[in-house]
Amino acid sequence: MICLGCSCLCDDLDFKNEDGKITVSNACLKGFKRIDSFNKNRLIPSINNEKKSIDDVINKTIEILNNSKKSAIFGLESSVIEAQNESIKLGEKIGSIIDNFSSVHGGYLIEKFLDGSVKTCALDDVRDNCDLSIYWGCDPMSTHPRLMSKFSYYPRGKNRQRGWEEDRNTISIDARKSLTANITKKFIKLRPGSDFELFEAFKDVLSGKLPKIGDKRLLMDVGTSIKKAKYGVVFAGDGLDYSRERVNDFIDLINDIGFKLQPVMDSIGFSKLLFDRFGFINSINLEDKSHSEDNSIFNVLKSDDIENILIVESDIASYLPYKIAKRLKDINSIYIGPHNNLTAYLSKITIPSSIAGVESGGNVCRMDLKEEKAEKVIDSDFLPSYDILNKIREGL
Amino acid sequence: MSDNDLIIIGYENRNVFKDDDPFDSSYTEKMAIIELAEDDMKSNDITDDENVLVYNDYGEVIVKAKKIEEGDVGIAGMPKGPWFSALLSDKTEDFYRHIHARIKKTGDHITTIESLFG
Repeated sequence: MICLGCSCLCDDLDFKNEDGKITVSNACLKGFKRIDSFNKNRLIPSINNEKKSIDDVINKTIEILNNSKKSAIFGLESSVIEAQNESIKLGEKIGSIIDNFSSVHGGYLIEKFLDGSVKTCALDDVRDNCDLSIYWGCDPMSTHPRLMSKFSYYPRGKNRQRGWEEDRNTISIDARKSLTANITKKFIKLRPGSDFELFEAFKDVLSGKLPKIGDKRLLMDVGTSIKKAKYGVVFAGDGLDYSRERVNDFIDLINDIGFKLQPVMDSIGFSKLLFDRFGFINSINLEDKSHSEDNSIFNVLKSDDIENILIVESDIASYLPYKIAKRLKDINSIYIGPHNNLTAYLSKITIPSSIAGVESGGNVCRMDLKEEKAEKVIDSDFLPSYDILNKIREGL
Repeated sequence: MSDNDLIIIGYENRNVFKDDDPFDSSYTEKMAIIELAEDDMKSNDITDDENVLVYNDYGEVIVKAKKIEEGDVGIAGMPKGPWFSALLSDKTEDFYRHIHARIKKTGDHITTIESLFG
């Protein structure tokens, strides 16, 4: 079974359903919780908090979209590719904006990852070859719990038979001592927002000069490890958001040291689909295929002319400034997803869907862009989100 | 920024899941917290598990204080979620800067999601 708990897409889960008793082997807690959630906290079809039938909520959505001049579609970072494609078809039909989580966090890195600015790698090659992994502004032990055990640190790889004990070195760079920082061999604690100063310090170290900031001994030591590395990977996360204006300097540094980049984020797959189709990873107006920051959910919800927003399998309300998230209550907001969450709570219409990879199948994209096919393992009456999106489009 | 401000770093709480019910008390227990360095707790007369008001120009929430080992003075941590988001700026140029906020001990109850978004 393929796990859709995060963008690691672990493919070694063993699922058994014996007379309704479910057992799952090899999953991390995050993956297990997703599978085990099929009978917990399920969303119900509703309009203005009143329970309705699934047909009623789909028909109401069609009515809203038919009468709307400006719509937006958001989310899909946790969805299967079939749902992502359906959302684009729907958006093209109504001429809406389409956006995803990368416009709020991490998009500047994903863009560089996709546009050829920096070398990338397959996670299977990381497992076989990586001898130095740097975790910069990310905490995969919390967000992608098996990344280090399955690919980058603990496993025996084809050319790394002595594993983490001798063959692999790890460095965490973060503003707080995260769970990942607790297990890496070295940890560089940054003053919040000072990533750029560290880029400069590394440049100094690598050119044989003493760094001007930080623990000079530690930085020299890390510099030596970087120079000695044969296959180095920088895993980067949204901790770099605070230095996003210096992303080119970050990419230059990765290229200078000959490392590869792997963003540790879940919105890479849908961003790639949009990038391949339209040349942009997010914030796209599907009416004229243009891109603008005004089309990001952050700005869309701040504008007065948005009439409705369709959010698919993304709890964006928990991550936006609450004054912006509250705007979901003022407009026709429609939420499609398997579970109740803050976004669903703020939405006027809720449409329950199946849990992708558990109650319905589909194709999915791993963080390194490898595609996998997920199968359903539990029968369910819930419709997959791509069927719901298709029904809405057909009904327009 | 004032000298008394804390910088608050948002982080992903590994014990909270996308499918969790945000109205369950266990969700509030895990998410409505602020991690503080021991010296910041002392200087604000706060002890572990006491409720504190966290406030800035953008909003305010009451959460539970938790002492963090190896914490840096002036730097606090909050799980990314509704309580953290209440302190975020709605201006793009400030959204990508670290949150600055002040804290104050309080006897009031933890802020509920309903009161934040009601």
